Amino acid sequence: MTCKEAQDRVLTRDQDESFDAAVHAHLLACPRCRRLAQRIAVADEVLRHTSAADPEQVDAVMATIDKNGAFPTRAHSLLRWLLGGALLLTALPVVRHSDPFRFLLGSGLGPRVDLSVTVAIGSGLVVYMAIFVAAHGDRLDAMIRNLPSRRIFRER
Amino acid sequence: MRDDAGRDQEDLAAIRSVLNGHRNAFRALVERYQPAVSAVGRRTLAAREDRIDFVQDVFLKAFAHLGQFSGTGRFYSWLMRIAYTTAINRSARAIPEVATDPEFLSRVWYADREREPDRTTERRALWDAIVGEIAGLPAQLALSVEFFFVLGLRYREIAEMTGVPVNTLKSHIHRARCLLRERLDRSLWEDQYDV
Repeated sequence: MTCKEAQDRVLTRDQDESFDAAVHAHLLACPRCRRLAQRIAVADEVLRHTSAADPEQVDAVMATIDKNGAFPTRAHSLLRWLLGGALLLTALPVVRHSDPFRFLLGSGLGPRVDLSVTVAIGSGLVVYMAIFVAAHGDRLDAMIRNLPSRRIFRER
Repeated sequence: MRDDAGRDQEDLAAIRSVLNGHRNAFRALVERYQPAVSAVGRRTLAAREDRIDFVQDVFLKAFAHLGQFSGTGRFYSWLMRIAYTTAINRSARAIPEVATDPEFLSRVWYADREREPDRTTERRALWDAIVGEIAGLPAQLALSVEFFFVLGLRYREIAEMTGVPVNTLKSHIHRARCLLRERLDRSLWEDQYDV
């Protein structure tokens, strides 16, 4: 690794980023680059914001929270929602091909039952998806924003 | 604010406690992050009343939506995103204009001068180098550079928050650190830190 490469890594280092072995080896061998890394670490530390909390503001926030009396609600796990949806989708063909349903279809009410059940299933799925999107809007947004293809696009 | 695995664990423990019904566990989070939220308010909002109200607003939003915090990232980053969004929504302008006056920016980010007088001169000297980099940058990018150095947010966190691409941010951090190096070459406190 050249000094320029090592210095570029030092100068663009992220917060708490660990250098790989090649950079470490270079810093061990090169006093000039090591000195730069030490200086930048000190500068980063000095620049960091370190004020103490304002007790009045902390008390004011907590007083308002106590006054409101509400508790934050737990968000239902995304996995649980997806499992619920998968279960629902699996259950539909099972119900559709079950003996009681086939019996109903074979009776005089067949077409009406078929239409009603289809409408009910469709409505159920739409409601499920609407609730799912409403409950996970923020997380879905964050996931979409973090898709690898979106990152590449944004970094261009 | 440097990342610290221990601090992140404490945050998660406090969040779990709040979600289990211990409302007062939220106090630890407010105490830990009120200075940073307050600094974002000072940096982005002009009126003092707005700034006081801003801190309250950010923490109330965080409390109300705490159940939506996934725990996969840092709570600090999640909170700063709420602060940034709230600041933008409150600001009359879409993104606050950058004041390149070092005095103003030092006052915004370093409200602790009295507590650490020995570090104030050093900070000011380094801060001048950062201001040299952000002068003339678009407002959002300048704020992103400040968030990196002063609030200790990571590239990815800042990019998600402000929409500034990581590579753009990296190149400005690179330039700012080059200026810091020059400043350090002339610095008085080289002996003090033995660097």
